[in-house]
Amino acid sequence: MEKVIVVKNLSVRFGKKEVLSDINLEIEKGESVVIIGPSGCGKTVLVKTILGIIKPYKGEICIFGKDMKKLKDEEVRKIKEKVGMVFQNSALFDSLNVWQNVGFYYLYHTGKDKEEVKKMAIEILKKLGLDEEIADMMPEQLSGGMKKRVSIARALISNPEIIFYDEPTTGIDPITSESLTELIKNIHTNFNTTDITVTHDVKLASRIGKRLVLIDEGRIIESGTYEELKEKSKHPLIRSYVEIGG
Amino acid sequence: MKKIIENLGGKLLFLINYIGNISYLSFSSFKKAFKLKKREDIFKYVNEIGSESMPLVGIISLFTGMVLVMQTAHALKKFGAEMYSGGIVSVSMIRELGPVLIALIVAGRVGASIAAEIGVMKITEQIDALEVMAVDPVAYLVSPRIIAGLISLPSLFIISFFISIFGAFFVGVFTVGISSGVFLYQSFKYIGIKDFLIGLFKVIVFSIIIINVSSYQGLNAYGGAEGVGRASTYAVVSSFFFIILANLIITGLFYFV
Repeated sequence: MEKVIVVKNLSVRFGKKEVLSDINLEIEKGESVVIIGPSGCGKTVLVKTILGIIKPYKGEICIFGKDMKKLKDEEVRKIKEKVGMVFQNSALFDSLNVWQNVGFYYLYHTGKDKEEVKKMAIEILKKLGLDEEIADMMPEQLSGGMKKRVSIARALISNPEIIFYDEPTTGIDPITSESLTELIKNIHTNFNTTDITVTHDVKLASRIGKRLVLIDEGRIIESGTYEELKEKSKHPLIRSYVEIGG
Repeated sequence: MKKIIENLGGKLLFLINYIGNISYLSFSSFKKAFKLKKREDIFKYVNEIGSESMPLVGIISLFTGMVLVMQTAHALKKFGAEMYSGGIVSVSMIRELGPVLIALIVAGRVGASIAAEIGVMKITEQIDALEVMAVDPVAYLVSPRIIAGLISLPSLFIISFFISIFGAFFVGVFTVGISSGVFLYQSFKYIGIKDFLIGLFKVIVFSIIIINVSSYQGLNAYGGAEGVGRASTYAVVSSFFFIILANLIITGLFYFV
């Protein structure tokens, strides 16, 4: 199976504090990996470092077999076109309306006509169960769940091969959270994406993750399917997670 | 004693590091301004920086021109030389007061808003979202504002000069009793193209300072709403400091050395 993400000996430091230590991770095409761990353990830092938002202290990150450090700007752009990210608080651009947010990648990077981009944005919004009417609304007019869906639409518009979800159900009511979980599962199946989800929600992790990677204090403690971890692992943190997850 | 020296050394290092970072951002944003992908944002920022500052700049310039004539004519009247007050207004407005006043107004009004806007984007991960989409935050957020600043501040400077002369003329002619022809002749007699170009150079430098200092504070904001407030305050205070310092250096270089 093709490895889409390879992380080797990755360490990240904030000042003198090491927040990620010697991380090694391989993710295969089509996998749905959940990075789970307590708050502040370094899950989001790991994802942001893979995406090039945070600079590593040492180590190597390869996406689609290419070492991200050695690439030129245009090559990085081509790789990022195949990668989407859904942020914890949606991170929609306040100054742009919904369709401009969704179509931002094409509006900025390509000479595509605005009407054409708007059509593309509306099409993807509809696929995610949102009304066409919201296309001209501003982000502050949307509910938390709608913002999350718009953020997913923004990540999906360029037909990415990899999608990162950072705490996708945090701060959302249980019903919306349930529908978002189903949506993430459907996207994985229908769009044939490789998903990397960061969460501390064990129930979400057990439902969407084919493989769970447990991080604590900046280190990977264990990795495996939910059932494997449930049966074999004796690590106290995993045991407590399994108890919560049921 | 050792602690005092350590403390001072630490602050000096912080200042050097800060100036270094601002200089790097200025160089980077200026370089990227030549390769902008989206130019329509420039017009939006010209409106924010220039057009929306115009009423405030206009009123302050008008009143400054009026006050300058009131003060100088009052003093010069003792020597029967009140007709020279127009010249004093124009020289001080074009060389010093005009550029510095405009820069301080824009720094206070626009600098705080730039730092707050970019700061909120930083804290709510919008800047991270830009990076994920392979958009350089400096090229997208800072470079168009640099160009807009370079269009807006020189325009404000020229308009402000004429408004201040108008204010001065109004007081000089209708209150002090200077003949209108004499007042206008004196107003333009003592200023040359060199004064105008140095004034223009000053506002260009001040504009680069305001945009980069404010953007830097926004891009480095942290810690929620409090962090955004802190970034806005530092943007205004730092811009004021660097504007006054730059004014001292430029005036020293062109009129003193």
